[in-house]
Amino acid sequence: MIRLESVSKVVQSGPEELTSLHPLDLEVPKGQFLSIMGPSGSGKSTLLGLVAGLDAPTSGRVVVDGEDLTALDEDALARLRGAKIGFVFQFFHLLPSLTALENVLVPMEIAGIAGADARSRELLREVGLSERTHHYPSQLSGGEQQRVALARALANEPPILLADEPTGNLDAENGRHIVEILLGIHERRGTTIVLATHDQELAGKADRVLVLRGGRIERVHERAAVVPLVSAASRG
Amino acid sequence: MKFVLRMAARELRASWTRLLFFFVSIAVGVGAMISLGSVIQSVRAALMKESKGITAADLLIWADRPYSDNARYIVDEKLQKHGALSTTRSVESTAMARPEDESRKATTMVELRAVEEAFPFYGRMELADGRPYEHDLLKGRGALVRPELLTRLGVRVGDRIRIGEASFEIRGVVVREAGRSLSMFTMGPRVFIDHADLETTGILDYASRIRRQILVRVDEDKLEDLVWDLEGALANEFVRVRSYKEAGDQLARRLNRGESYLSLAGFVILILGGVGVWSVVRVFVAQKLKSIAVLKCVGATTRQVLAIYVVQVLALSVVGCALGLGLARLVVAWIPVGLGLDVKDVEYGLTASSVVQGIAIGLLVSVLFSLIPLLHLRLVRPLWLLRPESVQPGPHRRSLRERLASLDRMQLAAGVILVLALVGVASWQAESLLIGAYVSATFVGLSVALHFAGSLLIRAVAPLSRSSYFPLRHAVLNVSRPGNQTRVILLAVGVGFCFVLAIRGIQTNLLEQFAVELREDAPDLFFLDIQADQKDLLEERARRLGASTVKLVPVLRGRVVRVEGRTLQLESYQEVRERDWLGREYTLTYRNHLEDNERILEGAWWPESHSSEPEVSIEENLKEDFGMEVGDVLTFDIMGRQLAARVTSIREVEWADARNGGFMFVFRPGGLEGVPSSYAGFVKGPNDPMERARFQSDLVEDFYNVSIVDLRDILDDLAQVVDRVSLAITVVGSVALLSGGLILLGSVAMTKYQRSYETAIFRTLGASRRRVAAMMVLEYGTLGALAGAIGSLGAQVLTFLLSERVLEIPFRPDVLAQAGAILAASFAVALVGMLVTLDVLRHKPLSILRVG
Repeated sequence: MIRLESVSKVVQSGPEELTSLHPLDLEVPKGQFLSIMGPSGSGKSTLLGLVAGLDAPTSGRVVVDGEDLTALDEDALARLRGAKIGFVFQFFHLLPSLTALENVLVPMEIAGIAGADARSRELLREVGLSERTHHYPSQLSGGEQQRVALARALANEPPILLADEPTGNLDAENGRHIVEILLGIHERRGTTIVLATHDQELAGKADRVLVLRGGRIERVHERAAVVPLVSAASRG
Repeated sequence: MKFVLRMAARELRASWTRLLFFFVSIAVGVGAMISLGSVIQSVRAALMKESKGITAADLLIWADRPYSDNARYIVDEKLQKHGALSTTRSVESTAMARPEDESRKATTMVELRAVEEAFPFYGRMELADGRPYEHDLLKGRGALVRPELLTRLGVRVGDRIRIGEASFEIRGVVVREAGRSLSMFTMGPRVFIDHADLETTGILDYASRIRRQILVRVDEDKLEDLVWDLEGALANEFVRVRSYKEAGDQLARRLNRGESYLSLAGFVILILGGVGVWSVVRVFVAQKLKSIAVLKCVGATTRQVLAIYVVQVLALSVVGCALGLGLARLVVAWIPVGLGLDVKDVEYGLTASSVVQGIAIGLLVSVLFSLIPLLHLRLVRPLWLLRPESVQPGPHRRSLRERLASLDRMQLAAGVILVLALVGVASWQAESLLIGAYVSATFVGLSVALHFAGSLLIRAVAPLSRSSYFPLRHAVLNVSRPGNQTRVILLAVGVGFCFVLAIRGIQTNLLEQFAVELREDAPDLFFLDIQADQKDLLEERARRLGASTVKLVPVLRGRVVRVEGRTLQLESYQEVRERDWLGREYTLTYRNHLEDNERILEGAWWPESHSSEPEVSIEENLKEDFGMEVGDVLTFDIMGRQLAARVTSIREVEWADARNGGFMFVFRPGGLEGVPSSYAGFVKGPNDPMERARFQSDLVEDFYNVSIVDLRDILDDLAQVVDRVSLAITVVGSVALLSGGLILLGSVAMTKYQRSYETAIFRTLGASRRRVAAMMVLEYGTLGALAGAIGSLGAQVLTFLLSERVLEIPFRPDVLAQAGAILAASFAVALVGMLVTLDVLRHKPLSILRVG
């Protein structure tokens, strides 16, 4: 579903160049739940940005559902995201001037999907916000805002969901709530999920965990190995 | 499209209050343009009426000898062909008048006018006792006379006077008459009689100067053709034709300057509105970066995003235009009352064309000025959501080449389109490509200068960033930090200031010019036929009787009878006569100084000594119309004596400046030795009508051979028109100043949205309100002073160009006002900066940080 071939990223930081991602290869099969872990600045968000086509790699190729993102222009990338990729951010990034319902409606309206209104309400109900449809982001708590963001990410039923530390800005309870929803989506719809997180518990629920450090893959854990690691961490 | 419209509506619902200033800017701009259009229209309409009143008709045909059968036929045929609506006859002649009562010895020369029932087609006849004028007052040997006649002859209303062989009863006193311009020279007081009674006076048989006039009423759209056709057909007859428009020539010239100014002011207000729009949209876009990134992240294309914001701009512009229209309605309703214009009989109000024009230009300007900041949306990348810092340029200094390379070509193209559109609109509105080009060039030049001034300022103040005084240090950091407001404030304030000052400067120059033309001491009486030995006595007597200005110049009457020139060769008077107006009799003078209203264009003025060889200085039109040049020899016939004089200079004469009169030919003293000359006098008489009448009759009594022409009425008319145009200009100038100031300060105030966050952080970190305010005053004050200085420099250049090159009035720089303006700019911007900061300080830091 997602394939990265020798992908690297070098960014300009003032007058200097900074390598945020050294050349790496990665394949995420359809329906897999992949967690990316690592300390701040290890390249997690950069990797997610490249997969979403929000950023272009300095070298290598990013292929999503058979399409080479490096060959697409900004508008084609936007269309691809609209159709195939949902994105959840640490800081929610809802449109402040739109209500919860309208925020969820936007991707469907862009894609010109019929029955968008009913589907938006259904999605909000699914994330437990059917009572808050006409509230503006400023009238919602952090957890609620993130649930709206999640509903928005799922609006066009994308086969891929990317989440950048979705619980990083939430308290434990709200964080758990979001994790449950994510897992539910993964199980029910078979959505391919790539999730960057510091949260060991959340990462532990993934099929595979990728640990980044200094822009390189430090190690990869498959699910079987992950569970004890997580249990050990939670015991400690 | 549905998505675009929906999103635009949703965004507007949430953010229209922040964009309030957007439609205020547009409303002020559009309102000003539409209402100025109406000012021009109403002043023009009122003046047209005035011009018609001066001529009393649309068209005047006259001859100083009886019409030949052929001429009569041509006139009838052409009038019929062009659908003249009606005609009336009038005869004007000089005649002697004396009281019927033979015991009174007084006699006086009068300017007789015999009119028919339909006279006048236009204009007002006012009687001293307030009765309305009607032709019945003249029927059956009645006469209406000017007040001077009563004093000169010592008669009263009801008395009878003799004119020629007939006797007339004075039935009223005319204080204001229509058709004054029919004859420019009034040889004595006016007397109106019935055309039917003219024959009985017998003066048609012996009077030397009889002018037979036909007054014509014709539709405006047929007038030009009729004049042209008549002039062509009557070229070989001794019949002249003139439309009312020519009578208003002097008025028209002033009006044209006034009009150019008003259109210019309207356009400038609109540009300032555009600057306001630009600054609002810029701030708006900066605030919307996140929303745009989100939209792009969830699948919206750049085109869709741009469309969402263009639709919003359009919607706001429409509302702004509608508001402007409402504003204009109010102003237009006030104009005739406020400016004291008589627009009763003319079409007046908001015309459909001015409304459509105003709105179209309003939309164009708001879209064009929004486009440059809006195009920035294209560059917003969704990556901003993950790493905002990666999308903004770093703080490191870039070279000019790097900057040029990073210029957005689309924005550059939009800038070029904007400038071209401005040139187009300015040329259209101010009806001069030159004005459009000058205004737009100033706009571009100033923008570039302000941009570089911003860079220089950032470098110049950089060392102060190590100052130990906190507000100064942070003011300097604010000026130079990434995403600073330096260039924005400089641009808005600098451009705004330049245009506001230029409008003020041109207004001052224009009004001063008008004032020169209508000075209080301008002569209003014209004396003729003063003999050389009467000169000193008359001057002394006139002053004693209350004249404030007396200027006597020697005059001779003469004709050009031969021209030996490089390009013009005329062998005889017959040939000279064929050259249109060259063949007429001229009033000549001699002197050894140039008057204030004259300027040498070619050749040289003679030194202050007498010369035995005749030299003459000619007026520029003689060169333009007939090709006379310096070095040509002209032969004059002066009182039967032939005199050949060499042209040694060509002069420009400011005919509007009435103080010194104007002469087509001026001789060097000495050359006219021995030719008998008389003197003409330019005198400023008493203002009070009765005193004035007495002044004239006393002088005429002592100097019976001297004729006096009273120009008061004509000058008063002119003064009235100039006063109205001046008032209109002053009002408009003030509107420009006010709206310009508002828009300008609003643009500065708009920067508050970008200031609130950092102010909140400063306060969270413990900075007192006073400290934050001091920081802002330092930053905004410096920017205001710099922008004011550059703006006022630009204003000087623009004022100079427009005054000298377009309006053709002298440029008078006012250094003190400029210095004051720079201080005012600095103070005003600092004040707004502080007020804005205080507004931000009112809110609790947390509320601002949360919204972030």
